[in-house]
Amino acid sequence: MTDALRNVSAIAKRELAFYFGSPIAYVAITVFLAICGVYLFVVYDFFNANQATIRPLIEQIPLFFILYIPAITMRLLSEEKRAGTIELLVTWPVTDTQIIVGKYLGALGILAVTLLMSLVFPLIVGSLGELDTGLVIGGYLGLFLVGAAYAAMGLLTSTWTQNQIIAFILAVLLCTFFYAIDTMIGSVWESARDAFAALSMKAHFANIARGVIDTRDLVFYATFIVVSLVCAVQSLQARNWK
Amino acid sequence: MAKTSKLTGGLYVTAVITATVVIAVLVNIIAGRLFGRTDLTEANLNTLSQASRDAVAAFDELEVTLYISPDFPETIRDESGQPRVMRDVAQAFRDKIEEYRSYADGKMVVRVADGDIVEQAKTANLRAFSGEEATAKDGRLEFKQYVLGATFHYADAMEVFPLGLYPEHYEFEITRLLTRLRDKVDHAAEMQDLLTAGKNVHEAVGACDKALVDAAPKDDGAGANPFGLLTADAAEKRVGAYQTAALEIQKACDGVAPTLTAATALQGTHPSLDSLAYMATAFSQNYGQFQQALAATEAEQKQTALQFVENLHAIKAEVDSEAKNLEDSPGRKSIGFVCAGDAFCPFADDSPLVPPELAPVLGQKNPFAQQVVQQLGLMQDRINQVLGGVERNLFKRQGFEIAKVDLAKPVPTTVGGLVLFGPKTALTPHQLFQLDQYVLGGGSLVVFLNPWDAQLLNVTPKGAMSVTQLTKNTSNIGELLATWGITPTGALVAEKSDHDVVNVLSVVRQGQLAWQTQKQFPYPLLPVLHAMATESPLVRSIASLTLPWVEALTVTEAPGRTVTPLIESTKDAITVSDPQFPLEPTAQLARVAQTAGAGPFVVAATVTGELTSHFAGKEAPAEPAAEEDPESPDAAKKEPAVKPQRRDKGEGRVLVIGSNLGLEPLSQSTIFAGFDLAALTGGSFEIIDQFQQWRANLQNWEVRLSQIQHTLNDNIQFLFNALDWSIQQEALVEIRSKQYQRRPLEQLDEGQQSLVKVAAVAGAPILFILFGLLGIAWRRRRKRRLVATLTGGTRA
Repeated sequence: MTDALRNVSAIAKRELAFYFGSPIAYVAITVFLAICGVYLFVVYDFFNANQATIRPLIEQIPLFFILYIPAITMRLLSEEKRAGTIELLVTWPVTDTQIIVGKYLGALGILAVTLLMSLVFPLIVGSLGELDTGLVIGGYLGLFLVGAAYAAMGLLTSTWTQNQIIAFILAVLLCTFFYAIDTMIGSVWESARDAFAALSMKAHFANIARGVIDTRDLVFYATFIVVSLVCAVQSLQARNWK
Repeated sequence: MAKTSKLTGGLYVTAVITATVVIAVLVNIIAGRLFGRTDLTEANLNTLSQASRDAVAAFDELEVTLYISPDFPETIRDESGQPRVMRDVAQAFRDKIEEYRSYADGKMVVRVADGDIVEQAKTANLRAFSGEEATAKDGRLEFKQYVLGATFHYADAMEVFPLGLYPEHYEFEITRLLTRLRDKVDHAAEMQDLLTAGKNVHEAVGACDKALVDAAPKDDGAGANPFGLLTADAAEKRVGAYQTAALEIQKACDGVAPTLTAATALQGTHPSLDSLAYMATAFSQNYGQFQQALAATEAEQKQTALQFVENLHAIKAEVDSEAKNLEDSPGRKSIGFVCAGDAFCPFADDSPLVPPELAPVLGQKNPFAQQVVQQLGLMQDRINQVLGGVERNLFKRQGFEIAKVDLAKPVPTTVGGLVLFGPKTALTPHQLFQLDQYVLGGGSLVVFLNPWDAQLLNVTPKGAMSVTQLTKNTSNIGELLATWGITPTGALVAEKSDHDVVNVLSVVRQGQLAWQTQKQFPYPLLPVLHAMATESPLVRSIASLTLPWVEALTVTEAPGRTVTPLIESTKDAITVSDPQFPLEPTAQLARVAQTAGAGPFVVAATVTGELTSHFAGKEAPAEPAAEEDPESPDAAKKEPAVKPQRRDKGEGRVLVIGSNLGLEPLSQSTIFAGFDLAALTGGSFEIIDQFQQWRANLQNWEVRLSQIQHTLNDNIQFLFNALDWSIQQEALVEIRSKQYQRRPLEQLDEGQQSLVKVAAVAGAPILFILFGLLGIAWRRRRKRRLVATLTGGTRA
């Protein structure tokens, strides 16, 4: 393993250990699962719909993620800045890019565990009827990509401020903006709606949620994450400016 | 770490971020051009099926014109009231057309209409729709209109996709239109004489009508008047104009008679041409009367010419419609519903039970009769409303062309398949013979059986509710089916554990208050069936079906024919043929639990291949005496129709389903059983008792449907598959199935449902918390041990 990978891995493990060594991850994931359960079985009225599908839940989770992912990412760098541990961190032989990627992978770890735990819903539904597994796989892939894009934005806002609450609010605003950018801009600038649909998480997620894996959607999420992380790295480096 | 100046840092960051964004945009642009997609759904719901690819590849030069409004609102509410994001819908439409084009080997040209799209689309027979945007014009609100559809052109033929608001139906609709377009062009050559004759008649009538329009003065005020009424002067002026242009009019209208003679010579060869000729004859007769009126000497008589002109315009519109019908007819196949043997027949009957002119007379003889007649009229309206709704919403909206078939006459050639939907009473030998010969002639027959009259709760004529018994119906269709290897056993199938619920109307009393409510009870006679023949497209994509009151079948193979069981019950199922079998849910469950399972039972099957006639070696049953219409001008000169050749063997296909899906017959004859006009005139009070019985009959039909209505949704895909199969459109069966992918849940009672809800909402999070607490405890314990080890075990 190269030094860079070792550093990234060490930072990611440190983040995961922090989350799972304290009640934060457990509380967050528990609340998330409870909200999903309430939505599927109470709000959506699953038994009345009488269909063995979790698509309604999968379509709703990106909205839940708008609050959930920033709550996970808000402390990633802002807490380090507030406590001054960022200076301690940079005394290690690690680059800013390795810090950002390590922190980001830590957040993705939480996201992965969250999605893994939420598999309880397809399992329950699958036990009650014949579930389209292809649709579930596509849906979960889409959720991971949306969550990963939100996490990148959350990490970016976390580099901007020492205050976790401000980082959280900024991340929520950014996620909301990019989730429904076409609808928001389209409501005031009708003719630009289609152009902004290309930047909309919702539009790209819709395809994946119905079980279609399109390379255009994958490329969109990948480039979105890369751009966010590059911005985060640049933002972190700004502390060295005089 | 060395510090950078803000300016240098800012410039560096801007450059890096700009370069990253530019690269990201370029990568997305390239990815947009070079892309791949894969469909993960089990039934490839988002990918064109082979049938669709074949359908578009069958054309050597297909032209498609898209009509897509450029200014759709954000959302439009569809017919079910659900909002549809129009940008996504329009994009899905373009994508779907593009997908077809990619399989057309460069032989499909797509043109996008521009300019005044709505007007162009309307001319091409597309359906415009409106959103919520409206403008005030001349004191009225005028809603903005939009279009989303396409026309498909091949050779001289065209098919229209009038309105594409439902992306989930695109593939089915487009493939259906392409198949139809191909059929139309292929069959047009066979019908060339008929089409030419029809076209000539249509053009001649059009020329005559145009001459009348051209001759009429344009400034006589008829257009400005909302009723098109003319003043006396204007009417006189108009008659004068027709007289002046009489020669031109005659010259233009003289063309009608010879074309009509040519069309009449082909009478009986095609129903659409017959209808066109009938309307053109009416046009010709009216024209003759118009000429007579115009030539009259009395002014008053001359004025009647104007009325004939109005008639001629109205008849011309009908001729247009019939001509369009004929033009569309090549290759068109409708599904014939056999309306005999008290089968379900989805056609409204507008003929009144009591002729309106008799109603006042009846009132004079019997004071109650007039009220009864009024109520009967309302009941008839209700029946027609239900049947009209079924015809429109269940069949026509799904693209099925259905026709009523009377087995007293030979089945029309335009009928592609026959459906006999749950006959309750026996067919006549001649009707059975007609079905037999139709199948042996290569036709398809779909039979939904209805062996028992079963009703959980029955409304009595006095309005009370009573539990009734199973009563055997008297249908004899089984005799015919048995000849072909599918024998209805007459026994109903009940599933011990895998069954649906029945909705029962019950009365709840609380103190002085009482109200009616629907309750659900598990019901073994509504079996849920999962065992499908996966090799058959009819049921391949169906996870389960609930077939109410379904009859067990036995199947028998024979050389030359293939009998395929389609749907089977579980091994646990039992059969019921005892009229005393309880219909009350609790008693039924108890009885079923006591009986040992004897399944599996076949409940639906197909037979194809060489079939033998049920009447082989027997004399053909006598035809019913033809009902003559003495007023018909050509009744006397009608020659007997040419009898089709009798067959003792032939290739045919039959699908038998042991259930009528809960659709009991609804018609005047079943609801108003025993109706006799003479009884109304007799002055007897028995008519009131009879009326109460008829009213109860209609209520019972509705009660029966409400008891099992929820199962219809699950069965709808199978019904459509069966209808597609009947007109030999197996390719469409699979595509249609994609639209109706239903994955029903296992039936749980309310307690079980609550348990699942609690487990999902609270169980999973609690388990996760426990897992977390265990993790934390384990880490603390490890930490304590570590500390103990480091301190040499000095701490306890």
